Amino acid sequence: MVKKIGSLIFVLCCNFITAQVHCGLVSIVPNSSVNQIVVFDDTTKYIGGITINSVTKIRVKVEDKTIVDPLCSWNLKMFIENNSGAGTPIDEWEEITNYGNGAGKNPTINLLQVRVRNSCSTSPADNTFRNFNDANDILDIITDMLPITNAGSCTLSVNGPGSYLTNYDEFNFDIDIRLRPGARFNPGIYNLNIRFRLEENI
Amino acid sequence: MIAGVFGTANAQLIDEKDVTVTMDLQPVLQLDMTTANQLEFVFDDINEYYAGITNYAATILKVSSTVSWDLYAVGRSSGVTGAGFWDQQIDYGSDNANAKDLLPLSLLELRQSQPNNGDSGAQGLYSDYSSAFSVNEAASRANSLYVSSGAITPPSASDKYIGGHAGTSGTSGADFMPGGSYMTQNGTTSDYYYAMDYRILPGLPAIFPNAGSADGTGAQDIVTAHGAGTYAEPGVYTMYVQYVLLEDQ
Repeated sequence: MVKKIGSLIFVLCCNFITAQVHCGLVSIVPNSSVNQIVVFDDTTKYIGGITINSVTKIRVKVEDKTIVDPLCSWNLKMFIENNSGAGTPIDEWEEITNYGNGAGKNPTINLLQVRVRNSCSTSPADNTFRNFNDANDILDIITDMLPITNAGSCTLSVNGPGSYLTNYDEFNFDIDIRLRPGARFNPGIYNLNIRFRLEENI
Repeated sequence: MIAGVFGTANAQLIDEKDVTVTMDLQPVLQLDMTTANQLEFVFDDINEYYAGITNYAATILKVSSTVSWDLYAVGRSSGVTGAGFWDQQIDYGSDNANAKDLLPLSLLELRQSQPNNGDSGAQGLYSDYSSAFSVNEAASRANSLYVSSGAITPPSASDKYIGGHAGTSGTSGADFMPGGSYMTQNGTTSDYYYAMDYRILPGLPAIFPNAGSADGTGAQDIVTAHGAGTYAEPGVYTMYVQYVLLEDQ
């Protein structure tokens, strides 16, 4: 009797661990981290800014479950992190080191601009530089809880199952960044982390 | 009961990727200067002794800086004739006891095109070189060049700066100019662009009446320094003006 109960719990636990809501797989390929260093060392760069196109590519792969659930869809968002838990003000870059006396102001988050684009312009914000105002801001690439738009339509807000392997122009997002600090901030080294989160819609 | 609990606890599938941006803001202090390698003041006519010689806009100073800054000019020489004095390269004629070869560096006068807008905390009689050159009959030390015995030492709160001033109050306009560049300025004037005029006024006899101490309160003309009847020894003299742009600290 004890052995039967044990088997039942094991089965249920396994079921819990592998359970999905509507989709069988939701994945960014690859999902390894990227670290981009941007150096400002002359006046032209400070005034004109630096733009880096395709600092990374977000390649999306979303698959149905074995038994297809017609409600499988996904959303993609950007979060910003500045290590605020360590005391960084909510609207500033994380300070790694200051050059000089640091008597001025540290750079603010809003000087980082992010642009998302793909060939089908599936994001409502496609090809537009946007910025975060503080570490609580979230920027949508594909908004959550939209009606399902199937892959292959090459239109706005494609969010049905599919893959960059078969529908590259809809499931690949080029990420560009632009930094234009001007002569306003303390010289030093600063960090910001952009987190891309792909979720199935529930 | 166990089945009921686990049956409603489905997990939402999520994947994430991080892009960390490291921004290296290196300090830039850039002074672009357009000027002749050598400015010559040749006094070979009595009128030039009386009226002096002025070189207008002989030097153009353009500032680009990412940090708060101060800009000053300091008179310097090699010091072979004396520390704080022009270097005498050659003297003309026979030596006369009243002919003095110690010409103070401060006899050179400067005039900047744009007033210093970062000097409200200055404590001296003259905080910059923005005054118009004086008329020849009235001695004035408003434009005499700052000198620190021939050294490069920054001026004190009582002396002259071109932009910004001595001190680190942190109050904008008090003793520094904020970061910026002449390239992004609009209008006809800019705190990041200065045209510098030079004047030497020997007078007759040649005593350089406008030479003055660093703070402008003391006279350094030849007569004051060496006594009545003295004058500048004819000859060729050289010196140089060093423009220093530094972070306000």
